[in-house]
Order: sequence, then structure tokens, then C-alpha cells
Amino acid sequence: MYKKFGTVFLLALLILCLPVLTLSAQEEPEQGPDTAEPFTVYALGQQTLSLSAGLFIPLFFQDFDGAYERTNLKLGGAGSLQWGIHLNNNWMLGLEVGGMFSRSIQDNTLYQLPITVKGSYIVHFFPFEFPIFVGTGMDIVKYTDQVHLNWIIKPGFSSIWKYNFNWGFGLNVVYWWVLQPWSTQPELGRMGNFLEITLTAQYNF
Amino acid sequence: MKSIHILFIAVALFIILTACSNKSLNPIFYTLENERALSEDRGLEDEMTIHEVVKAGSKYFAAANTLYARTDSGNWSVISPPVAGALCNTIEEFGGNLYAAFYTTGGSGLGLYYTDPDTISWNQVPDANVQNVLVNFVKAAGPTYLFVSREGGSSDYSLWYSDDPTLNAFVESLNLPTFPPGGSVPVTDVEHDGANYWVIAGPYLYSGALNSLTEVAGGPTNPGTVSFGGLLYTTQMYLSTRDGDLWSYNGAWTGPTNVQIDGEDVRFTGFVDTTGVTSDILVGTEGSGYYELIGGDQTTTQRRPDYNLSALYNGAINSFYLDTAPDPDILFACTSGAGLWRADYTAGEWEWVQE
Repeated sequence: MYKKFGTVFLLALLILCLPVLTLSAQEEPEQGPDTAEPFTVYALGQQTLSLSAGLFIPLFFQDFDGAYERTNLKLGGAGSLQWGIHLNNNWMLGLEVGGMFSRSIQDNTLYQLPITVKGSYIVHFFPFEFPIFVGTGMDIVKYTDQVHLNWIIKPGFSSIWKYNFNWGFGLNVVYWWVLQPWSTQPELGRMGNFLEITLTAQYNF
Repeated sequence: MKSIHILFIAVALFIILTACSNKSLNPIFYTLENERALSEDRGLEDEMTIHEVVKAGSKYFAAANTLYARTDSGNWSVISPPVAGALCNTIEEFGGNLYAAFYTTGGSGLGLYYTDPDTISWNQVPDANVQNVLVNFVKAAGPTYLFVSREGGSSDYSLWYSDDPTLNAFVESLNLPTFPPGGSVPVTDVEHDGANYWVIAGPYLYSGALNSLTEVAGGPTNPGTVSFGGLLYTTQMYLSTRDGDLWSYNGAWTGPTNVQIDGEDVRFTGFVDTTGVTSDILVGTEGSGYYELIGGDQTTTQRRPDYNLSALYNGAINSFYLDTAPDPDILFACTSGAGLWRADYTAGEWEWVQE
């Protein structure tokens, strides 16, 4: 059990590291003006709207002593709507409202509605962009008659193909880390670990 | 200084976020982690209404309008009624026989029948007082008697008893008044406390010897407009009402303990004595699962089962049936519209599955 969750966790970390490797590759010594960032795409005040939908993969729960446990959730669906404002060509601040659903083995449905503030660093590699981001905020978690308001941290990256100046399409890979402490019985507290893989369409204006 | 402010805001936010949960229920991730599959399909529909389950002979019987039976390890199968198309919603084991009251699809009473539970060959109970009438309730109570509540008799509803219904005539024990005016109140439970019998019917509570039951005054009968849910005698008498009250009687009334959900009274139904298994007593509800009376104390209750068993957690429980003969002990919960649930008592917990 521990080995399995450890493997999944390492794989998830590896996926999350991919854009960093890309970034490192981009920091190789420049060979000439042709390989530099082709032009400035974004400037202060430009905005981006993104709509995403795709898969929600339950990974594992972890208690606050470090033990791993299964989620008993099935493959689910996730989606989000994001608005962002660019600070310069590379940095963007945004707000994101997401949602997910996943069925349990007793055929009840778990819902989560994270509302997060998101900071992104965009690596340009025309005609592609690779935003690396982290979002944090509150997560409304509902399961049958129980509702929680938890804290969520969502690191991730995207690979976007710029179709033209306004439109881009791509893939998001986002790790959901949901903290669910329990003050009355701390031993029942858990951290939820999930993976979101979604297709995205973004519009810049 | 600025970082202290940020830390303070973060801690405050964290406390606010984690405070927005129902702390009487287990947290969601922990609940999910401990879920297990409920799929033990024994042939009953998940949305069925089951009125009662009893064990007679080597089989369990379930009254769900249609009468079903199964062996310890088998699946439920339909038992043919004594009259083609007849329906049944009350059954009882008494003197080694299975007793069942039948009625037609049009609602006309067919009266009380009995059979050997292993061979199933129906016989009409010979006493004309319980033949071809609408019987709403059959229960063995006290050391030697089978009680039957039937429509008609000396009033709208009446209570009858016999110590051997296959041979001896039933005796009318109680005529029930009409309540509300123009309506009628059938008997819904009978218990014996070792000396006296207790009977509930709508808002009425009776107590006394077999042929001299008298209406109880005071205590839970005030103000007299509440319907009672169930009775149970263990070492004291327990009484539930459909407006959230739990009472006990041990020479004097204790209570009420009022139980509410979101300001609404819990509508309690009948009890089951599980003190031989868990030290607790269970009481069903209409729409809120069941409650444990921890250690048999009606002032300390806990809603059960876990909320992720949502069909049962929000279920209307018509009755329970406890069987302590097998290992592990078995508890059935008969619901309105949420099928039949069975719990095996393992590792200190009732482990529920839907049959």
C-alpha cells in the first residue's frame, strides 16, 4: 500500500517537474537571436479567460502522521473557469473557480468546489506557452449530508498552443492538495491528494 | 511585523475554514477512506418498502406487501399467499408457526393465517373474530400471548389475544377510541414488563393486566395530541413519540428527552433491544435513520449509521429485527422506500449491507 502510494506520488511530482525541466532547457546559453523569445506576447493589464474540463484522478489520503490510505473514489470529472490579469510578459495573477465530482464505492458522489487565487509564471516557446502556477484558497467539499470548507493548494502546469493572438488551446496538469484537519478528533484529520488533467481553451484580450 | 500579520490572517482563515463543518459527523475524507462496498444483492429491490422481518423455523421472512423468505445463506424468494394476489405487511413467529395477516389489492382484509415455516401450507386461524378482517398488527408479547390489532370489533379498532391461535379463540382485550373524530387509531405496539401489558395506539397509552388495560394519565400522554412511535421493555419501559420525545418508565416517568434536527422534531418509530450485543438500545425514525440510546440511556443519543450510508441515514425505518443466534449477530432494518438493510456485528460495529 505504502509503496503504491509512494510510486503514484513520485510520478505526480515528476509530471509536475516537467515544465521546470523545460524552463531549465530554455535557460541554456543562447545560440543567436532566433532562439530568444520571439516577441512580447503579454503586457500589464492584458487579461485571459480560460475554460477547462477533463479528468479528476483520486490519488490517496494521508493522515497528519504521514500514513497513506486509499480514497475509495472512482475516476471523476473536473472543470474550472479562470480569469487572469497579466503583470508583464511572464507573470499573471488570477482567480479560479473549479469543480469536481467523483463517485465512491457506495455510489455516493463527492463534490469539491475550490475557489482559489492563482499566480502563474509563463514560459514562452512560440507557438507554445508553458504556465507554471500555484493556486490557493478555499475548497467547499460536499459528500452526502456533510459539507466542509477546507484549505486547498493547487500547484500545476499547462501546455498551451497559441492558435492566434487571442486563442490558445492546451492541457492542464494540476495537483490538488486539500487539508482537512479535525479539531475534535485530530486522528481523523486527512490530507486529500488528487490529480486533475484537463483540456483548456483560453482567450486573451 | 508584516509577516506576523500575514501569519495571523492565515491562521484565522484556517480556523474559520475548518470551523464550518458538522462536528457530530465524521470528516469526509476519513469517512471515504473507511467505506466498503454495500453490494450484497440478495434479490430485493433497493427502493422497496419492507414492513417487518422475522425468523421462523430455518428461514427469515420479510413482509413487503409480497411475502418473501430466505435461508441463512440464500436469496429472497416469493412465498405464495393463501389467496391468489393477497398482500401482507405484518408477520410474527409464535409457537413455532409463522403468522401473517393478508389483505386484497383492493384493501379488503383477509384476516390471519398461519403455517409451518419450513413447509409453507397456509391455514386460516379458526377464530372468526380474526377471519376476513383487516389486521394491521401481529405481535407476540408477554410469556404466552399473540396479540392482533384488527379493524372493527366493538369500535373502529380493537386488540385481541390468544395463547394458541391454532386452537383457541381470541379474546378481545381492548376497544380503541376514535381519534381524531371520524378517524381511527390502530394499535402499533404491545409490550410486557413482567407484570403488566403496555399498549400504544395513536396518542393513547394503555397499561394494566390483560383484560383490564386502562389509559395512562400524565407523563408522556400530555397534552394528548402526540402519536406514539414505539415501546420497549428491557429493565425499564421505553417510549418514543413522533414529535422527537424519548421517555423511560421505572416506577415513574423520566423525560422527555427531545431530539431535533435543524429545529425539527425527529419522528421516532419502534425500538430494538441490542443491549445483549452492544449495551445500546436503537430506535428508528421516519426519515432520519436510527438513533442509539448509548448504554440504554435515552438522554444520550447518537444518530446512526454513518452519513455516507445515505439511503439508511435518511431512511424511514418501519421496524428492526435482531437475531442473536448466528455468529456474528444480525440486525435487520426494514425501511419505507429504501429496501431491506442487514448489519452484521463485527469488530465492535454494525456493518450494514443492503439486501
